[in-house]
Amino acid sequence: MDPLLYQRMIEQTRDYALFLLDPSGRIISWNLGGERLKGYAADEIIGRHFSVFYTREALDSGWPAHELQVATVEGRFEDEGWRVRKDGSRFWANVVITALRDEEGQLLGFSKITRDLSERRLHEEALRQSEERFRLLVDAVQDYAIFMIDTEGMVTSWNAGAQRIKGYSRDEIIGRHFSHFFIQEDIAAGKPWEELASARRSGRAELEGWRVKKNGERFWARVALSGVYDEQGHLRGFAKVTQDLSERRHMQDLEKAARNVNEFIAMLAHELRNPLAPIRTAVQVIAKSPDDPVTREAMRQTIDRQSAQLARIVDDMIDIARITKGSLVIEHQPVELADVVRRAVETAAPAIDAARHAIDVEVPATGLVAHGDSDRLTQLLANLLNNAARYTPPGGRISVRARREDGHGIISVRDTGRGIEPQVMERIFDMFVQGRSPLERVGGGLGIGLALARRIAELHGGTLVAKSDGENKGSEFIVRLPLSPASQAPAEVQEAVAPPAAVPRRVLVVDDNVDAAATLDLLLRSLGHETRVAHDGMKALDIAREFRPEVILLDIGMPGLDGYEVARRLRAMNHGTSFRIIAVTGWGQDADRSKAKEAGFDVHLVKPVDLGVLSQVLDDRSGATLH
Amino acid sequence: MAPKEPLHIPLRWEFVPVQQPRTGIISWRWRAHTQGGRLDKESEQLFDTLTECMEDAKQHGYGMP
Repeated sequence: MDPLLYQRMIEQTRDYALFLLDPSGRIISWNLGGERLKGYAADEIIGRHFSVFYTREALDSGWPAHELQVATVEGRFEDEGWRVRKDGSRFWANVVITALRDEEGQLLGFSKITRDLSERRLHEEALRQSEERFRLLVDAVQDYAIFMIDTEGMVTSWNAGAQRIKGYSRDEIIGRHFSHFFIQEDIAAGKPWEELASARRSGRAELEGWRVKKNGERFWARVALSGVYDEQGHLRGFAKVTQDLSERRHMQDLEKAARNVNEFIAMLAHELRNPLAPIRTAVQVIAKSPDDPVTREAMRQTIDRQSAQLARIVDDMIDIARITKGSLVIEHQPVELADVVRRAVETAAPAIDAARHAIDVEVPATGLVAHGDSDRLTQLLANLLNNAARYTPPGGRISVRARREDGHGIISVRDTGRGIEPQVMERIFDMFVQGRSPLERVGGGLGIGLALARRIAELHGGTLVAKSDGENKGSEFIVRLPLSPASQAPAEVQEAVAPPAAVPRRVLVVDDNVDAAATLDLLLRSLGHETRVAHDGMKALDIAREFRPEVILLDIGMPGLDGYEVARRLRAMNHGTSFRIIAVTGWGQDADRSKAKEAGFDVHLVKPVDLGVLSQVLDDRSGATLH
Repeated sequence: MAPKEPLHIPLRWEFVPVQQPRTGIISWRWRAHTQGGRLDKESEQLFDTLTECMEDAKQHGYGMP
């Protein structure tokens, strides 16, 4: 090669400073690139020590001498760092110093190649600052948990939002598996690993579900999981963003509840109209044909049936209030389940009869004794039977079976009806939920039957579950109740008896509703009692002084003196004759009964009063109360 | 139909609607089956309502220990 050509290549290279140092570090050659990078002309720099290019800090630490020493020993030294131009400005340089030796190994000097990396350095710094800003941004986000997990699911980063939402500090959670955030059921079902597998396959997974905080509290979360890849496309882990949607879910639950209540009110209005219409018609018919005993008897029966239905609706509403307040209470007595089944079947007989369903009853006559509330258990089972009757097309079959299993009494109600779709299987136990369109609204219904039935089962320490093979394949409801340890038949059940003939009494009826007072008056007279009627409290007190009643049937909600006040004043009157005060009221809550008792009432009857109960109360000489 | 033999509990009591072919009116009858599934006895007459049918069944052991 032409040495001159080689020399010119060195001298004219613009992008690299290429120059020679003698063994002591003095500059002995220079090129165009050196002049461009460092600002010195050849005649300004040749002969000076190369340390002139170093910063004060580097000089103080003896860095130039260290570079030459390493290059001397190892043959080569490479470094990146700040260097100084002639004008004092700095630039980021990549420097390679190579020791030059003769054939005997004698050190002749050093070649030095310097490249200006300021621009790359600026890029890197900009990137670093950008990443830092992004990290600070992510760290500062409070509303989202943003964190990284590695390919195995171990947490590798954690932001403030994650700490706020999940409750773990960075030190507590980094290095632990992300399955800590899942509820036990999901862990058992392998969901954390499914989520990872899904994100591995598609690069992304997005879902909603329950997650759990450090303190064990559940929250409803929306989760996005995105794969993070390196430059070669290898999966390095996942970025995970979790949003706490508990509040939104709470709002949705409230909206759903409001919708259910609105639907319930509409349904209630419908259910109230159903019995009211025939009652109004019957009254009009009687008015037009007052002397026709056949018509009158038929209308009386209509009114009797429909008012009983109204009373059932009111009972249901009271149960709704009790469930909502959590104040549904049960008695604890030995209960023979065979008896419960028999009574429930009798209760549901009108609905079964109307739909012409055949019914099978297969129950051991004795030996299944639970500890609980006979009336409520009967109500539970009657609800299931009424439900079966309602959701089974006419001419179907309903089977009731009871058996013992592992110390529990199992009662199942199976039908051949429309069945239950899997997606609504659990919802049917919510309040105010009914099937899409009952085939026939036998006896109506407020949509609380199953909710109430399940609650009653739970209050007995039992369960109520539903099964169905699907649409039009029938349903089966299974009640499981713990049996009493001894599980012996209870004492003989006292059969309900018809009210005995009334003992004639002096009865004062007090009610501001003139119709209500008049009908009750007529009823009492027909039973042989002597009566007086008052439509307000003051009048009642006047009549009581003179009439000296043995029994006072007293309405509570009256204008002026209410029933409580009238009762107090009656008790304060000492006219020398013992008398009983009986509340006859629409208020049937436990609190109302307590208040009535405090005011001096002996008995609390809820409207409409059953004739048998009224006769029993009027004939009761023992003074026992029916609060 | 009179009982042929003492009944063995538990039994299956069946209450079945029956439609009169001529009038289309629904009546009810009951049947009692032994544990082995054999028909043991059944109502001697038809009833207008299921409730009446059950009342009659009670006279023949339904719901009795």
